[in-house]
Amino acid sequence: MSVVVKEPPLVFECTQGLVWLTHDAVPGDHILATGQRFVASARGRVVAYAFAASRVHLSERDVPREARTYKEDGGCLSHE
Amino acid sequence: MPFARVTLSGIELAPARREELARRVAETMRDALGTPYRLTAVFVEELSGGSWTVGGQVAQRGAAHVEATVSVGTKTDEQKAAFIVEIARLMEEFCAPLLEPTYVVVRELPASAWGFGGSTIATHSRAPRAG
Repeated sequence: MSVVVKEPPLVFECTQGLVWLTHDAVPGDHILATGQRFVASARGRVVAYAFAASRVHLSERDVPREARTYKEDGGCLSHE
Repeated sequence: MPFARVTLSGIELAPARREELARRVAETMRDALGTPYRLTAVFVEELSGGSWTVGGQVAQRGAAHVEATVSVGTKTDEQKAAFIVEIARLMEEFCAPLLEPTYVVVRELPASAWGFGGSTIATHSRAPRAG
């Protein structure tokens, strides 16, 4: 799955499983274990791949966590 | 995982063609299963004649088997079905005429059954990592 970051920052927090992320504005890979976060602080596309059944919570600036909970489901982020 | 093994019997591909097949399998995994292209490993192997049987009979024409391995619980039935359709088309393009049946398999492993860097995915999921 991928997410286009139009208004950074966007915070990716792995709440379950293990997720691999890349951000086309940032070189390198990012692997998030449960409880770890990646902050996309620039515009661009973030591609994520779940190594196992995983959940990723996305949060934007000034948006409460409870309002933006997603679930990794079959390679796509969907509202939980 | 993501990993795919393509096993061929009675089919000889030129090195460039074999490389192209591996690339196309990785692209199919990306497009159908959503696996990241850069992390996808593909192995194409060619067996010697006489080692492939169907119904107890040695295959008299080219035969193939494709097996992709992914993590359990990360792919939908629709994604797996799309992968099987596209791989069948790909094998027809590269290897026809093929002996039937040609099986395409999506193996799903639990996080405790595979890993990298000396640890299982289940262990990596729990371990604090830098970054």
